[in-house]
Amino acid sequence: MATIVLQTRDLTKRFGSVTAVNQVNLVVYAGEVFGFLGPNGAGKTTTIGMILGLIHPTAGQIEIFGQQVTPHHNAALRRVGALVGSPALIPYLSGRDNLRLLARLYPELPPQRVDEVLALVGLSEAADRKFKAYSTGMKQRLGLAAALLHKPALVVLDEPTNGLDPAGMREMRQFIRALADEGVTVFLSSHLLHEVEQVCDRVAVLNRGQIVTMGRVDELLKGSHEVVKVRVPEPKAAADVLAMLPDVTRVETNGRFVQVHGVSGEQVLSHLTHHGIVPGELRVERSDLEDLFLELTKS
Amino acid sequence: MFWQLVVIEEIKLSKRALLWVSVGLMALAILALDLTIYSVLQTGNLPDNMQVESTLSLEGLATWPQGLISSLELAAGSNLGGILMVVIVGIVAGQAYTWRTLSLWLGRGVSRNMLLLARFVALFVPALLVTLASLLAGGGITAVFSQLLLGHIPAVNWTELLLAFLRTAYTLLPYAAMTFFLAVLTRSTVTAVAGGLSYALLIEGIVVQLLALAGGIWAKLGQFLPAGLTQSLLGMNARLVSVGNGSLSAPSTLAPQTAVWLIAFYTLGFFLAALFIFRRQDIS
Repeated sequence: MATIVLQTRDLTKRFGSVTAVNQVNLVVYAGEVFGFLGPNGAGKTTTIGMILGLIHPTAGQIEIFGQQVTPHHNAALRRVGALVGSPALIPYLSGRDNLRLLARLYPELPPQRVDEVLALVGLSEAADRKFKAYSTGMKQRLGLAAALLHKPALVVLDEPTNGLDPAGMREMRQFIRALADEGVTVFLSSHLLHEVEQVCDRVAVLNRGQIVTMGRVDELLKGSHEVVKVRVPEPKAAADVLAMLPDVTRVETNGRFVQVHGVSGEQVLSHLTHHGIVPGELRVERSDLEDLFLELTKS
Repeated sequence: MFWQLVVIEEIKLSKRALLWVSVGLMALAILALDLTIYSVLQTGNLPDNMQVESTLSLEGLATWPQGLISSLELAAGSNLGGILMVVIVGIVAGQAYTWRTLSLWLGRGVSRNMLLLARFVALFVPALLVTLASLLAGGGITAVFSQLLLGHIPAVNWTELLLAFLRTAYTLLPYAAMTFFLAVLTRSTVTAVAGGLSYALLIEGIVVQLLALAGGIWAKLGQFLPAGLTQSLLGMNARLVSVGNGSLSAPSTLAPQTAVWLIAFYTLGFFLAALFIFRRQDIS
């Protein structure tokens, strides 16, 4: 059985009368990339703040590597690296000096480790520029370098691709996968669903402070339905015909296309031809994580 | 780990322009003051009825050892040194919240108690540097003036000078601690600096005046405020003069030992209050 690296039990945070996080139960296993999804304001950053001992939970428990973590008992966090939101480093120090300062917390680190992580995130040449002079993407890279500096066993990344260009985003995805391949557990919070779908082994979806689903990405998508898209000369008439199919859950028109949910491609084709409508094109698409996410988080 | 955190804070401080600008301002202020005194002495631009007494008094201020004492006075808690400390501490402590750098340490398993204590202890160094800047600049220029005006540099008791230096730096602590507390309480640089300056420049003076007006035992309470404690300790710096060219009496009636304890009490009190709040804060 896989080792549990991070676990929350009924984790709750209330700000006055507002419940930001409500009885969240998460389990993250060693070596996996765990996606943490949710719309803006769902409570993701608050949850991460509690995991990192920055925010006091109103109720519930957090365990990291089997040790309880609270703002006053945070020793387990020494094996955690985190990049939360826009990186908070010291603006008047250079990238290298920021990392050197952090490295002082880990006397066991070899002196060349700072240069290693700078090279790892592609900042060797800009290492002596002040942090405040960095672009958003460079700041993000330095934040990642800071998170990885002490070779943590668990890396918590909150929107790590913020400010990165498409090439940087792809690089980050590859990087996250490479971390997992090295046995590092990654807790990835992101609103970029395709990104999560590509790199995560398991995901949890948070909506209005509550977990609405959690599981392996492939298993979650297996349970989702197919969407059949047909191009027809008269979409309105075709939509009316298709709506009569017994298992149809939803029929939508989009330009010259009709989208049908809940039935197979064969059923759609057979039903249309039976009514004298010959589709010019028929495509069967499986719902992706985005569809699942939207369905789970719709009001 | 604790001393490593203190070293980290010191490195951060040492790389801030704010610290060196403040130290420079302190040095410039004392140089400007001493040069003004010297130029007045050279031009003899004083009223006739004040000529002899004032010339002697000004000559004392411009030369050792009295020049050393007046240099240290400018660096004291209730003077320019206190104002600079309020600015340094308010900005350093407040910006940790606005820059969100506290999460950098707390998110790595550093305990809150240790972090706040290290940050607080690290602020003793600016207090020493501001005082040192005043002493070196003022001491240096008054040494030159001593040679020019007296033909020699009077001897000083170096142990007394060291104690005077430490006493003066010590008077900065209540102001630093109060501003630190305000920064933690409000998480705001502006509020911390404004609050600290308001107290040092306005509120404390008003309170002392009001207590004096009330008379009786109330009038004596003013001595127990940081400015009164500063005066009590600065009075001890007059010991430097006893090996020089005369003697000065300490103006304060509060025993210096009491002042030492009360400054420690204020400093610790403000720190503990800040710690109480910090331990309960949600850090974003």
